Amino acid sequence: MLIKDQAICIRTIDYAETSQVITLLTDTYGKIRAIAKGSKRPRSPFGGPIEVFSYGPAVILDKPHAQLGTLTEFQPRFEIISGLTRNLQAYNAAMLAAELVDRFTKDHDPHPGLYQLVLGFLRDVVSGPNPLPATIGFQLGLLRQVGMQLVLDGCANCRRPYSEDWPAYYFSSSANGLVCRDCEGSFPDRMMLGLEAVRGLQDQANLASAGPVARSVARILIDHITRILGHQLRTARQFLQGMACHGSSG
Amino acid sequence: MDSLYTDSIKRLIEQLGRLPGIGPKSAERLAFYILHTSKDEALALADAIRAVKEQIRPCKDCFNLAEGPLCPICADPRRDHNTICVVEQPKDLVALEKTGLCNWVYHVLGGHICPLDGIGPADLTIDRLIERVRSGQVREVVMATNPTLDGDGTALHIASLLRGLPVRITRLARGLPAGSTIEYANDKVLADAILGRQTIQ
Ligand SMILES: [Zn+2]
Ligand SMILES: [Zn+2]
Repeated sequence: MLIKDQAICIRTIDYAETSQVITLLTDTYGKIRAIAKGSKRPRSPFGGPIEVFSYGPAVILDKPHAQLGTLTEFQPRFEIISGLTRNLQAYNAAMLAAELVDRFTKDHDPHPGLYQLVLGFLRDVVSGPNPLPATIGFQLGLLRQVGMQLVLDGCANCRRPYSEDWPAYYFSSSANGLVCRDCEGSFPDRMMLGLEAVRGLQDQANLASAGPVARSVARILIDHITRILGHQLRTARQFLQGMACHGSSG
Repeated sequence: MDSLYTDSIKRLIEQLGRLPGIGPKSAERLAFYILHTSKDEALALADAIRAVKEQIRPCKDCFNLAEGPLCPICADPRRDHNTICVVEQPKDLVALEKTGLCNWVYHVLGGHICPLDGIGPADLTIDRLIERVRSGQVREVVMATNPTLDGDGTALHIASLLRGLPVRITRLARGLPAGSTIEYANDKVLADAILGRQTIQ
């Protein structure tokens, strides 16, 4: 089958001396891995080695039973990469996003809307002054896309609707969302949240000026995702450290 | 084919075949060349391989290849020790030196940060670079990591660690190669050239 679709590269691995195996998130067909033959040759058919976050129209020859497709055409655009190479926090956030997409999706499993979510997120982080709210929004959006949406509009256990009048607010990873005070005792992993953190989880616009709160929310989500995946994220450490440095300098 | 050769020739062909760019046919050809050449010449090759593996080690200051504690560049007092050029690999240093334009000293990182491959700052010689800048008389750090996403990411990370120190941080220019034509330049190169345009003096 010849797949023609918009695609963004989320991973590359060198293959032999002149080629790469690349992982593309396509708009319609989900994640596809393909070999880009000769991509590292001086006269590469793709305008140079393919880099993560290059995106554009791609043509992939995808054989039904082969593990890898063959990339036959790719006309990548570079403005995302160009933006990421000017902003360390955006770079770290984008790397985290690429790893999350790769870990949460299976090959050839379509996720309508995910491509746009990723691209929108990358455009936000390269253009905005603070990539944290966008990163939190992306993590929540990704969980929604893969059917693991967090419960944030009520207690994830007793379904009591959320209200700012709750005497206290908790988050539990094992409950998959907010937990009220009546239920928190059943979830040993719960942690108390401030009102600002709850508001930030519900709407990331509330985090734009709240540095320490945004950082704590980002950390909670990374811990939650790490628990779901069952292993550490490669990109998380640098993301979290970068966030901490950014915080201390202003 | 295997049974055509004695064990030692087979082993030589196998070893040569592991070299980059050498296929089975070339490996065979080289093995026969070595077999037929004089003993002195063949052993000189073996000695040269042994010598680089046994005598070459990283320079204690810059991690360039060295045969003593310091590499020839760090040991050279005529060099400008106040300017450190940061490269990923010794090969990059060699390419820069061949221009004859550099009088600075270097710092070899040993690669670049690649978060998706799990390669972090601690896997490179970044700590040692920061120490050099902190303790010495360094006035300028020139980032000469590759102009790739991860090369630039590495430079950004280092720059973030140097922020606040009294040192100028620069990066090699990029854009259109001299002697090329705009018509045939790829989008990436053109984008860099447009963003990095300079005033004509
Ligand atoms: Zn409850
Ligand atoms: Zn040295």
